[in-house]
Amino acid sequence: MKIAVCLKQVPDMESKFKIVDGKKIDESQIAFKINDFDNYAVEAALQLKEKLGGEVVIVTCGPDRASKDIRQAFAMGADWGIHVNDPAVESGDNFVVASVLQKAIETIGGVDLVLTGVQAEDDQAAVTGVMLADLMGLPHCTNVKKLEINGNNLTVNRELEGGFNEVIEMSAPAVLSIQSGINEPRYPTLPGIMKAKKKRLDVKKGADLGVSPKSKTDFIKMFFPVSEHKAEIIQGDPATAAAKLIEKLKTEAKVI
Amino acid sequence: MPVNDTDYYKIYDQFTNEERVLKESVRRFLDKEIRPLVLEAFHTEEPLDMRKIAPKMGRMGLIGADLPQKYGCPGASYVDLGIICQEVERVDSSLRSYVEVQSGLVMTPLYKFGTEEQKKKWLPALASGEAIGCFGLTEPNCGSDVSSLETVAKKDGKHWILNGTKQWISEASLADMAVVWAKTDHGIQGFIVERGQEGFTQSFQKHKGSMRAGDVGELAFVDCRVPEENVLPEATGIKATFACLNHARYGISWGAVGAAIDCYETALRYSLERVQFGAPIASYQLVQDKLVTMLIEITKAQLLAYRLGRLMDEGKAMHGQISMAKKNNIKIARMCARTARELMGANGISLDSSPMRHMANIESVYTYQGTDHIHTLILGMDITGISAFGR
Ligand SMILES: Cc1cc2nc3c(=O)[nH]c(=O)nc-3n(C[C@H](O)[C@H](O)[C@H](O)COP(=O)(O)OP(=O)(O)OC[C@H]3O[C@@H](n4cnc5c(N)ncnc54)[C@H](O)[C@@H]3O)c2cc1C
Repeated sequence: MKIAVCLKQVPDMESKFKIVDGKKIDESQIAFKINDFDNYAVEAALQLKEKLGGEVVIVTCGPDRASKDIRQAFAMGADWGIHVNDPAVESGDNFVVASVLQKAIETIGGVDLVLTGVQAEDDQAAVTGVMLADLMGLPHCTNVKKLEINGNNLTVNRELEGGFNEVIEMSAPAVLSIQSGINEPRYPTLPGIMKAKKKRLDVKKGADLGVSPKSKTDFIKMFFPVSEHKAEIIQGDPATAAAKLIEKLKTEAKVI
Repeated sequence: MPVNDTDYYKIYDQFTNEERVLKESVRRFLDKEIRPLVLEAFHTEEPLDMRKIAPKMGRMGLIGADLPQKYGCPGASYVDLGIICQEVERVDSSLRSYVEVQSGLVMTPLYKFGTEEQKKKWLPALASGEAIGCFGLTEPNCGSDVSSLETVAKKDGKHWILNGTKQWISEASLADMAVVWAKTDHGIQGFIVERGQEGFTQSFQKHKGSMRAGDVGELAFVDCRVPEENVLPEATGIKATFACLNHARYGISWGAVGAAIDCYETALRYSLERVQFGAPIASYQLVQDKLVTMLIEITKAQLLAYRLGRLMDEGKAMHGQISMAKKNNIKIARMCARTARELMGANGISLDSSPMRHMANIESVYTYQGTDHIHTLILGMDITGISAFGR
């Protein structure tokens, strides 16, 4: 089974974020890491490979620094990868990225399964996997919490609000967006890291893949919402405090 | 936990991708699998269960990192080893003791001075964490002055007969084997002594105020017969002991940075949250001065450790440089532990946060692997050419 995993590098959300000119994030104080959801996707792919054989190929759009997290996936056991390192792609929207991923995956050839994370921790767009499936003309399932494969038949549990599961059958090739918690991603080990050094990573530009897609959306600006502190502590014994709270919820907040 | 820690001078930018992956992975592994166990182990002085933990660390490749793959080790670099020590000591010094005793003081002499059979028998088992080793040099009457060893080994046919006591030995009570140094007719010699050998007893030292999460104890030899094949043939003379010590001292210089950073970050978080006189204590100049002092010293310590690592990998490091990094970085960790504890007031003395525990541990690290004084004397001799060790 040949599996492509789309992997994005994102800022560690515990970093200090500063916006420059309302346009971009100041990266000087940011540590970057693998998108958590993609980490689950890598692990899911590796488990399938261990069971069924085949290979796992990592596909990433991102700047130089993203190669660290491709190496991380290699250290976990992925076989090789494609790194589209192109400022033109970088400045594009999710559609641009999905289009580039599609072309990159086509160059691999014979891919049975494409795994992505449900969303990226940074932009939280949660559309790239869906767009990719559409561009590739493949069946797709989001929020995948369980995955079983029997020949070409996939049985997939899709997680709904409230933890409900929906069981879906579909056939490979397909695109699946993996939800966190589907497995327990392994830690890259030092022996794995030593092996990762020798693994093949093809670096490409959008033009090498014959794509120069245009964004479908325009980015205007980014800003931190102004935080408003409107907490009020109601004093008094429980009975009067509760009565006062109900009163306020009715008249001031108008929620009951 | 953030993926990475304090790095004011962007030293981690000098790391390769692989080195960064290692750092982040070791950090995540330790925070999830081991850090939660440390407080209770330290409090009760019931050492971390290394029979369970060591194999996990072995699978991660944290033991004998720099030794060759041919013997089941990762075959990585000294910088990789340093990164491991930093992350491990960020959690607890006793855990870094284990890593460096096993890697630097047990596996390194086996690799450098052992026979092919000894290497094949022990290195893969030690690297996987399935076997645990200890290093017996210090004795009741022999500490800094290694040449004053009193443990003796006498040849008797195809055996050596060992008599003596080793004290303050990391992993003493748990170890499956010990690399033991004793005096023979031809000078100091290294031996492998296996658990259960007749005349060999291993015991645990209680009532410590430091390294309480780790195993430290005594090795006693009473007419202990060690077979000829357990002699480390090339491990002769005091120089052989120093060769192992350099490895461990190097690891400590990185480890100290980990402990210092853990203290600094704990104090920084605390001083931003703790409100006194109507404002976070971090807003007061006296507190900022202390935070800044810690950060500056940590940054210098990181630079020393990092540069030393690259020099080691290039085969260019000198023992004076190793002494400088060990001496300086442990001094810094000691200062940071105290300062962090101070900034946390009474809460700082609770073991629920790490500075007090690090502070206690670092007292051991200040003393072992060459005391602070001894490293001053090594450096002093290096720059003046005059030995000030003895009269
Ligand atoms: C937790 C822990 C784990 C340990 N693990 C091991 C282990 O695994 N294996 C092992 O072999 N040992 C181990 N040790 C022992 C350690 O290496 C020794 O404690 C160390 O070498 C110092 O020896 P000492 O304690 O006898 O102190 P001493 O050498 O007696 O020193 C006492 C004081 O005198 C000073 N001093 C001594 N000589 C001079 C001099 N010439 N000039 C100026 N000052 C001097 C020292 O700096 C120190 O301040 C461990 C110790 C501890 C605390």
